[in-house]
Amino acid sequence: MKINVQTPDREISFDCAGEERLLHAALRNGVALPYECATGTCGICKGRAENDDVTALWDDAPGNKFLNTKKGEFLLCQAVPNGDCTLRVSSSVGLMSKDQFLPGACKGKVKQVGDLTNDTKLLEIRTDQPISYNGGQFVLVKTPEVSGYRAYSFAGYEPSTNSLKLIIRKKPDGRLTDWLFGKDRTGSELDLFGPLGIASLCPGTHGNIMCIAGGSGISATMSILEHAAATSHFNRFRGDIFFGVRTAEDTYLLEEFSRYVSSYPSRLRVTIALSDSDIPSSLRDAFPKINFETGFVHEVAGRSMENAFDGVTAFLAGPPPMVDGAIRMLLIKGRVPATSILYDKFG
Amino acid sequence: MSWKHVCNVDDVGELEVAEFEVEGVKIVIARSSEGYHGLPPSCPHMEQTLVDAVVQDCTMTCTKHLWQWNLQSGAPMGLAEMPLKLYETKVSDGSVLINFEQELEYEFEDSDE
Repeated sequence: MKINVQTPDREISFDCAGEERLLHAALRNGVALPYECATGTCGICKGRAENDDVTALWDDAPGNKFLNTKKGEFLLCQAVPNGDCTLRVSSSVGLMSKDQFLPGACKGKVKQVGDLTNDTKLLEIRTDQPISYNGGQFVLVKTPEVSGYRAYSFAGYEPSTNSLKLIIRKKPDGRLTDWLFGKDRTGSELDLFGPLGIASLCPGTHGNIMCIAGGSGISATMSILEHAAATSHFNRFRGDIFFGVRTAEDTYLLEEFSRYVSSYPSRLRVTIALSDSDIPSSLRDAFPKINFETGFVHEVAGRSMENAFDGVTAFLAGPPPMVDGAIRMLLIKGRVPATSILYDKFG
Repeated sequence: MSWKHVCNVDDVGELEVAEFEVEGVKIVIARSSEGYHGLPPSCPHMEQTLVDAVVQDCTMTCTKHLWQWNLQSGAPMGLAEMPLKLYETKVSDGSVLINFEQELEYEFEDSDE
């Protein structure tokens, strides 16, 4: 179907398959329609259409609260077209730049599921075609047994790969995590769409980097770290990583972080911030290359980076209160320009 | 000119933002390095309350999606895609006043209405 999009300064067209979400069709054609979560919560992808031109797939999407339905507003990430149609979007829309990977749909199978902590698993997926992405991006995942996509950061980095790793934390009453945690799902089929997200490493552009992550947001940080290492980024630049969790039992990937710090001892620093407990000496002894502090991760980062914020690009990933706290710290204490603060908010 | 009292000068500290009501209408006062600025209470992007915005020098940043504006002119900066509406604001005798003819609202494009 042919979709025509009118924006304040131009008109762009793209094709969309029958049952395909409009946002997905636009992005895979390189049309940079605005989005943030791509999963029906943030409202950023809203657009307008005539009455029966589109069908909304999720009547209870949290992002619906941002819509003026009397004016025909709908969420492009949760709607499919009923035929050729014209949409209106209030943001300026351009084409995706050449250094971004166009997202696409593919199929995958669960290869392995392993435990990282008592509420977090590492999901390994084998896809039917290779995916290329930048460190820090995310992918949408769907299983035929649970309706709707969920967004997860790529947990590592490999250029053009059929092997993906995602870190998935159990969500209270989360239907997808109930599905994944409830039974052995090895071999289960998945639908994926990606890569998505703008909070990703651009090795030619970014210099010193800092990452502040909470909970499973560490996934995006590990992906950025691996991409940076793969492109020799730390031969020239610094990396400061801050991972916030509640207690020592919630930590993971510490061996992996230790290995990277060993490779770049004068350039890379990793700090774990425990918000709800003291630091057991056994933890310090087990991971001598890692710094441990108590407190909220954005406050620990603020203290730690004093006088080192100049020129830094900051990547944030984690629960919304953590991201908000980190943004305020970076703007006020760090005086980091807003354009150097990158994050993808989803989940 | 219809100057209305919004608050006292001490009700908003430097680089702070607070919300008040004038004739039933919510007004936000942001205090920058250049003085006091009266504006509508919500961000023109996705209606986040601007009470939580960060003010530095004469720039205001909405922390929801990092839209920014110059508080004197309302000009968009960084990621912002539209200007900030501002009430004419002045200080007189320890009071912050705005020229309040009618409520400032953002009109979103409605080309078919």
